[in-house]
Amino acid sequence: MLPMRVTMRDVAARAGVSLKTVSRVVNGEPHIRPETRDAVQVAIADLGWTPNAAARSLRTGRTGVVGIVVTELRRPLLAALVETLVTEADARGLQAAVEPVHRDDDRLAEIWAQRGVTFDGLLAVDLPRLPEPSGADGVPVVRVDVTEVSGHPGCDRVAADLEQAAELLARHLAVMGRRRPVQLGAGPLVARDDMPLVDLGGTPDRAAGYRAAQRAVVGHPGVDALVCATDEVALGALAGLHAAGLAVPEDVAVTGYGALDDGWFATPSLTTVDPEPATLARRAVDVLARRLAGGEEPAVDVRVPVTLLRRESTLGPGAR
Amino acid sequence: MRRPTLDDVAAVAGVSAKTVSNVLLERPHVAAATRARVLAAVEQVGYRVNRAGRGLASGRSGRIAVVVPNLHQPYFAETAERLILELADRGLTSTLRIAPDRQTERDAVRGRTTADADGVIICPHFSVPDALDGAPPARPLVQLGGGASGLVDTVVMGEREGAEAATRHLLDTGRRRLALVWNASPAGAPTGERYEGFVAAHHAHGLEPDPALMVAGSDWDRRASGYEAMTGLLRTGLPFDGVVGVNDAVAVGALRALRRHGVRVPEDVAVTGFDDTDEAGFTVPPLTSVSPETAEMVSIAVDMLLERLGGLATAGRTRRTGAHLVPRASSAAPAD
Repeated sequence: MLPMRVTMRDVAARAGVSLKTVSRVVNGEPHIRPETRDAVQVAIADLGWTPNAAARSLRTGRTGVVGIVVTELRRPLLAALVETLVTEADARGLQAAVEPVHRDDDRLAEIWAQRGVTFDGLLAVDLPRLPEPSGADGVPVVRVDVTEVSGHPGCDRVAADLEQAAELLARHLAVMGRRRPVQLGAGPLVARDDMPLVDLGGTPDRAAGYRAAQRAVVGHPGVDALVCATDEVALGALAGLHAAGLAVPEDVAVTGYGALDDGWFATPSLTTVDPEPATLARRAVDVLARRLAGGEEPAVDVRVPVTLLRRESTLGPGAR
Repeated sequence: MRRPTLDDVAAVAGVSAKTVSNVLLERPHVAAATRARVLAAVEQVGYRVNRAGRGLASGRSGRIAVVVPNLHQPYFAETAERLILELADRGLTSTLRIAPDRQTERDAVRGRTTADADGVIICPHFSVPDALDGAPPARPLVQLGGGASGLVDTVVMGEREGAEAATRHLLDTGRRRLALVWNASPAGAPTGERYEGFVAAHHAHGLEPDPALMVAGSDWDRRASGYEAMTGLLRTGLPFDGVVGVNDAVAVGALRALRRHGVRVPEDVAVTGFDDTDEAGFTVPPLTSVSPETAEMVSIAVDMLLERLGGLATAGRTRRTGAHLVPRASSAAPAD
């Protein structure tokens, strides 16, 4: 005998609620008590019930899919943030589709045209420019910025606090007696008048950091610290300085941004700034979920505090 | 801010939802006047055709789902990106999904979370045949990496060749006691093609690998795992002069642990990884690795998927690709 198909009625019975309540939980409607929501979700999981997504979406005009739009996945900092966003979306029953756009405006326009068709909402990760409209027509867009500096009027935004990052790094280096820092790549760190800048000339990857570090020590005699745009650039700089016969941090201190795993395992381990991707993701998906539930408050601009991780590349051997 | 639905269009046009649907799907036998009224109503309420509904009706969404276990492993981030670009080159759009555990992988393979796509290319973390319960896939599905099953179209990475090349390189340059730093696995002992390659290279030299030198950390695929495993091995005091890492992540962790304990690389111990990630070229010292032919794997996977989308209905096929050694300073031969 075939097993009986589990229905919404079975879920309602098991959770001890009405059919209407199950439906409201499944459709993510607001004003449901958390304990009721939990009871329904436990019943759904226990019974292995699957709402018929296509039928549901015809009724609600929703697909349950949010698009995560990102420039590229080969930058580990962006990949890490995207991964945490997918996890956060999933925890709220939203399906995530990741869309790399590679600075291709046509691709970006295509994705924008799918707003309300394929996507209920978009999370725009570190995109320098957004097409219009960006959130005022019932299909929410939330910017999530980890290195991007520019804002976008009228659009919800959750961003790492880059001014704080620049402050923390500048103070740390000053306290440690570094008087002649150079920035490697303008990147996320707000350009400071008192710090000369060496351009990376293209993709901010390890190879660019390797070359830029060697240019910096030649072009700025006496430089005693490299403040790098990202961890990738800093890890390339460590290799470039090593190849040039310079000791880190004895000759030149190096700092990164992003708190990649690689930095902890580098030799020397890398002093860096943790932009707290898990917090960025949680706040961003919070904002998106509020908009999807019909929230109409003015656009928010959330700054997430960052943390300085002090390690060997500034402190010297023996530090973590 | 509710979005207009089919029912709203029906109400404005004064027809049934079924009629609206018939018009939108361009079905025959709808009166011209009714058709005009429905289209005007669509315009008036600002209704947009729902892709999920359209997918139900036509069976085609024009999208391919690319599924990877995570994005923190550079190999998966890179492969996902290459797949998306290759699909775009062939005129297909894609959507990337992440399946970090057995259940989400199963949901993706069985279409529960990929119902909006016409086909799936998956880099599995677990087992695609298990997820299918041994039955052939109900729609186009290609597996990239992992073992061949005969059930699903699979592109098999040159894992054995690659691991054999790395091991042979260490033995050829005079290293004799090789440690193997492995992923944590439920079985405990290493298995699979990379392990077979490691053993085969030993046999070709008339040697047997020492099981006491085969170690794993507590997690899969993390640098911290390689660090843990190497720290544990160093505590045993067993002598060794080479380390084969199952991937770059654990090799980088092992490299760091060796340096931390005052072991010189490559003077005292040579180290190799696998995957040739961006990281490998910039460690201190730069890490010898094995490059899987990712571009070729991706191209073959997309070829196979296109053939399935075109209606090919044979049993699961297997295509193998190669792998080659990328020697760097971490395995330089010791000076005499």
